[in-house]
Amino acid sequence: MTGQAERLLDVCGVDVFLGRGSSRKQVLFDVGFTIEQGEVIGLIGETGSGKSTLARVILGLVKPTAGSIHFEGVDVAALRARHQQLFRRSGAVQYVFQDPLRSLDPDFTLEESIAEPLIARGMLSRTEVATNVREYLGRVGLDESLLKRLPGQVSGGQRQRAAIARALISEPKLLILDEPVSALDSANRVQILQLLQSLVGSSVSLLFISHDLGSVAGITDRVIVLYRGEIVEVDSTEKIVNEPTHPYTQLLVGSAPTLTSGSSERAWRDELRARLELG
Amino acid sequence: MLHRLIRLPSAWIAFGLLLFIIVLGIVGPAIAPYDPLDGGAKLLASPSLAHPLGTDYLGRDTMSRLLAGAPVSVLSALEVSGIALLVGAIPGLLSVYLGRAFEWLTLRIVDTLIALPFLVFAIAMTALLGNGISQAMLSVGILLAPMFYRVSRAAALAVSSSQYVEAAILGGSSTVWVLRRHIWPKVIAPIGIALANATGAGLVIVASLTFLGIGVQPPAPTWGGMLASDLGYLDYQPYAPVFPILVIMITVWALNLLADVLRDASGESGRIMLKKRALVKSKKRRATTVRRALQGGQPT
Amino acid sequence: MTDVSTPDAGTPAVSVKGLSIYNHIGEVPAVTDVSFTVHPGEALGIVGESGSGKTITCRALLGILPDLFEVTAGSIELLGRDTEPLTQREWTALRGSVISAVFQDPASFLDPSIPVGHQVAEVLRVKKGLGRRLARERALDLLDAMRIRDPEYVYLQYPFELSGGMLQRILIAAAVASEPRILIADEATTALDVTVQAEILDLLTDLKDRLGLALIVVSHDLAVVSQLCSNVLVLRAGEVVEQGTKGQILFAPQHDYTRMLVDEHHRFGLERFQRRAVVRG
Repeated sequence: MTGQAERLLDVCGVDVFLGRGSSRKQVLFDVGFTIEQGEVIGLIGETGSGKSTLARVILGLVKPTAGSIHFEGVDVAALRARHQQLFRRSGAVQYVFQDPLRSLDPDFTLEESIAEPLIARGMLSRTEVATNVREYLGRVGLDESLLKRLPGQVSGGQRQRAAIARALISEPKLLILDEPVSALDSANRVQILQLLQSLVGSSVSLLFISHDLGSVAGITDRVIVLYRGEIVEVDSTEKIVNEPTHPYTQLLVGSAPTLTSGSSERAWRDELRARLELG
Repeated sequence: MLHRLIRLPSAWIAFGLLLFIIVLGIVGPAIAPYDPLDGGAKLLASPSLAHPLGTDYLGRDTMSRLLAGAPVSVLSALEVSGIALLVGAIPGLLSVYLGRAFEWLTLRIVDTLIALPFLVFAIAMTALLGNGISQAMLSVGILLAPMFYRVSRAAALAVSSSQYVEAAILGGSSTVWVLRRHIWPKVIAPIGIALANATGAGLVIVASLTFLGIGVQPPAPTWGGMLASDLGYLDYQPYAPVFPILVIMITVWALNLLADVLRDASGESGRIMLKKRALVKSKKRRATTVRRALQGGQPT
Repeated sequence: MTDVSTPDAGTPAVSVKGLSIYNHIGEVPAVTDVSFTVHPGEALGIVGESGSGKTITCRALLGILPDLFEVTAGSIELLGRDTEPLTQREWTALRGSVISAVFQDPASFLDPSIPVGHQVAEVLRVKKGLGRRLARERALDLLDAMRIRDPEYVYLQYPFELSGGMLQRILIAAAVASEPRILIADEATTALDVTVQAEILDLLTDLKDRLGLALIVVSHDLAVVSQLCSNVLVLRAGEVVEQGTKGQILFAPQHDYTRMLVDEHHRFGLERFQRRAVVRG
């Protein structure tokens, strides 16, 4: 019997309001979805759709006004500060920011940044930490000579790998990535996507957040489409790309130029937009 | 940051000078060749071997007086910046973490303090609290506190809203750890710079107050006081004011240089500095030759 | 408007021959032996990553090479005119009326304290000498041509009040205001959401067809380039790795690098799923 405890992540009925007083507005409306173990999910939405807010809710940085976020049966949204820290220490859910130049302390060497989650936990000896750091460094394809460098002294691809190593070193069950490859060049993109792909299968579930379906369609099992704070469609990647049902999904898929076809005709896109305005 | 500082030649100059002045401030009176209060020599004498900087209107050795006056000036300036640091930096840092009410309250107090003019306030405070240098320094310290408040608050705000702090928290780092390893190092540098600047400002204010006769009464020697009396005897010793002025100037300059050096060695400029220095030095020479060649229309 | 889509094969709008640019700061060649032509009504795509030399090439075409970047070989001809002997003054006259450009981050190219409409009108007043009222009218016409729904309203908005896509339309309006013959779009849609990107790409195609512009589209994304352009140039580390028609590049890439770019799409992009053409209703 599959109960809530079996599911990795169960988001249910989440409403989020941001801002205070007169500028208070609702950014997420009754959002709900699940992620099973070992799945790769793409959360696709344009700027302002609420996808970043949703990520922050899952991470416990923002409290939902209503609804629950069950991680392996525990409602992490309802945790008090102390328990929340314990949960974070467990490293079960980790996050890779979009811009590694900002998410890595510019005065920390790559080694210090990658080791930080382990040191924070304070359970391992110094040598054990160093061993772990080396192991994950290797896994993300970084050379040991880069350990003592500062983020500003290495390339964008290397920075992002270091950020991924930092996230992986906690051995998370769920890894959330926000546009992880958008700032990288083609060679690096391919390598990092391959790296992430190799993680699938080992017990890490991946949640990609992006505005561009095309950038993650290759490795996602399922796609969740978010539009103006609401989930409008959830389906397998194949289905979403080939048979989208909601007008916004159709617009999304239709807008992306591909090598085999340009974006769909403007008239069709305009019609979809009109439908979205009304609906 | 220390290893970056070592690379800058200006850092050596600044530290060297300041060390010298501080040492002087401590041992000054002890090494003065003559008793600064003893007016036994020839009056208003020109510089000579016996009196390298001459004597003043009471026959007291100028150099001895400058040396004896060092502690007052230097230590008072440090007192000013110390008070400003405590009164300003602590609320500044806390204002980022203690909530809106505290933030609003401290911001308004700071606004008020900024509006008050230094010397007038200092004079008023000495009238209220008594004519001692410490009282004057206390009031000036309070008036300089806003600078520290703003600097420490700005630094703390920038860091605490940064993504790497968020990343550390998400990774499970405790607030104490984040404060210690991420926030504190980035906050201490701007505060250090402000401290250097404030001490310089404090010194000028001390000199101004003693010049006006507030704080320390003659015959005790102070740099400002000496300047005041020297001005009274310009006909006889036109060069005399130069000495106290030079001493004040050099000290303030050294402090400002220290502030610049700290600024260059910290933060983003400090990180770039290490990489750039070697590059720029060799490129600069090539670049000027290239530019000249380009202007001359010749290929390099 | 007259259909100027048939290029006059005799006079290319842009003719670059053997262009080489040396970077004196880093002491490396920035661009080596690049050649291409673009005819009126035609679109050329330049595909490259950061550091490939694509931006330096664009800057050379606009006459805004940074200090210490020197053209060491080759020539650039705009509308048949050699740009080498041009003075700063002559370049200034050329920019806007012969060649123009839009870049990646629209907000940084607009004055945040002036309503956007005025900034478009300013181009008209400076380049075409129009009076204030006439410039305003013409600016409104331009905004309308950019398919902005309520030009009067948008005209008075400040940059911070508008979305990225809207700002890019404003900049395109400003770029075509004084009727240039050549337009460069350097990563113009990179920072935009994919739905907005489609609109802007359509707009560029539209302008190219209607105004007979010679369009140069620079992007790291092969798909963007393939939508708009008939010819493609692939740059890497300042060198032309491959060059040809869109069909050649996409379906018969010769060079490993090009193949890698194409493969990336087939492996990780939507192409993996699409067996048939465009998704329609």
